[in-house]
Amino acid sequence: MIINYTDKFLKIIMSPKVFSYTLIWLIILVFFGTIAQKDIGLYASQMKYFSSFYFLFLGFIPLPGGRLVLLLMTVNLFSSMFKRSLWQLKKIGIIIVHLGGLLLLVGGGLTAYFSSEGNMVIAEGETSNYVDDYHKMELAFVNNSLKDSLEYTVVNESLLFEGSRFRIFDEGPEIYIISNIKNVRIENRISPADSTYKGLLEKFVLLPKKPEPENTQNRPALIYKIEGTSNGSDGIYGLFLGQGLNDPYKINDQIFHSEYRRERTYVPFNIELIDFEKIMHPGTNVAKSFSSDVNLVENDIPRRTLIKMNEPLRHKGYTFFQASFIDDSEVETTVLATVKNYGRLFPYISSIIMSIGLLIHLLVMMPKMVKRK
Amino acid sequence: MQNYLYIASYIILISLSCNSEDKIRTYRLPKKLNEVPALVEEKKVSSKIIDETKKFTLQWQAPKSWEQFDGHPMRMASFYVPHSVGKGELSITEFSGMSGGIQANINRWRGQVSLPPQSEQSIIDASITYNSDLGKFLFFELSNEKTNQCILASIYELTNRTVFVKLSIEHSAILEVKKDFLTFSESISL
Repeated sequence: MIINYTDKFLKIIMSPKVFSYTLIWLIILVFFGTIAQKDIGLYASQMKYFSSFYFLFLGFIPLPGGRLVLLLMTVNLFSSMFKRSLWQLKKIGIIIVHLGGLLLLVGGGLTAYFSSEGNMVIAEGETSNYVDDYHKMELAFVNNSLKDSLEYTVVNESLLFEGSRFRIFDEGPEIYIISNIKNVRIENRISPADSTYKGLLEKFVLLPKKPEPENTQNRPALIYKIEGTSNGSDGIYGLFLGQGLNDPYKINDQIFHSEYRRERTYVPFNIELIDFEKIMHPGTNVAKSFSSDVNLVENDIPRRTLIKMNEPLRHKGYTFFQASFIDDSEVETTVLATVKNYGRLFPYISSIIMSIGLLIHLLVMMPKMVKRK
Repeated sequence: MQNYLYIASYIILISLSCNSEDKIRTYRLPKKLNEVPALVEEKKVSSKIIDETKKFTLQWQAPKSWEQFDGHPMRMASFYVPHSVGKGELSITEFSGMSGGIQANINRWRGQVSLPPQSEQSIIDASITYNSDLGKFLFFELSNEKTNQCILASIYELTNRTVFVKLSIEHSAILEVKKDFLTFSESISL
């Protein structure tokens, strides 16, 4: 009986119809996802329609999102490889096309889960070894009491939702997220704050304002409570992206401060900006081209490289593109768009494989087609 | 048997597609001098732990036009700061602990340029925070246009001592020397 059900299930899951339906649904998602960009912005649209397993249509009807559809497609294509009828010499071209398609989907999965992209911002004469994510945030608890180092305990964005409770150490105080604000408005307090409010929140209030469609234009903020320090540091703290001064507090007699910042990915080498150069269109403030003269320092050995528009630096799986710059009157600062994508080569390889498969299939079928004519 | 093989393959495929990144992670990075954040409780500026077993000395980069001279023995250094209509006098001093606190010192200096005293909150609100190699410091501009007097000051609150940089100058010369004063203040390091 069980075998019967599994037989039926497998028959459905490996049916070519599933592939057709998922493909049609993907086309619909692309259509609506593209239109939605106008109102909710590129990032929100990507998250809602393509990077989700499901989304709510009209606010209450759950519909499959891009990830679920692509997962179904992968399972369907993977299953079809088990069909005995497929494994014939005359179908070698089709087998190769299927393998190419499967490789493309696997590459998409690798990109979705393991790729990272963000900005590396370096001022002239300075060195950096980390990339700030474009969208993801993180909450860092920084222990300042160590002699030669700073100890960072970093909490991933997935734990920073309203009502979330967690501990950063086994015996440490509890952190309670009161509010996670997508775009913040900072205003002076009208009346004196309650004694539970600490640091920034003693003088200011953090209020939500309407998020901008373009996510990078928002200034996120976090209001959280620390409970159980038993030294007077318990209270409600506020942080926002780009905050200059940090509020110190004590945990286990050690001095900490917190930072709410873009998620950082550390790279296994340093990049030092020697010189940034920009050429403007004559008579305008529009940049014609710009380039960064950098030292890539690895194991204390520097390698001088020029990063220009359309001429990125590639090293250890990371690609650094010359994306932008910050024009300061005193020092010039370069902005390098940084991408690490494990699935980068998959689309090229799978396209070649599928082309070869189609060609072989055409050649195999050619005599039959000629005969028919 | 073949069916179980299929199902096992699906389970592996779905498991691989699950996200398993760490939600809380810990790492250490070497301290940079200008990265040291606030260490003193309830203070508005960042501080730095000083090794008391060593003699406390500071380094700085003064503009070429400034002339160092032997001032009061309590001072770490003294400079004449020339400008188009005369010269101001700059001093660098350091005291252990809080040295009376920001309010007391600023109000004393306000008195020197014929300005009335202010509350601590007003004083802090009027200050600007900058970064130096010694840590964050508060910059004050105490200026009296009527008497043509001015004091530019930078205060560095370290965990166990306080460093003061004070420039007494004519009010009319502020624009000429302010940038140099701030650059000098930012250059101060251990």
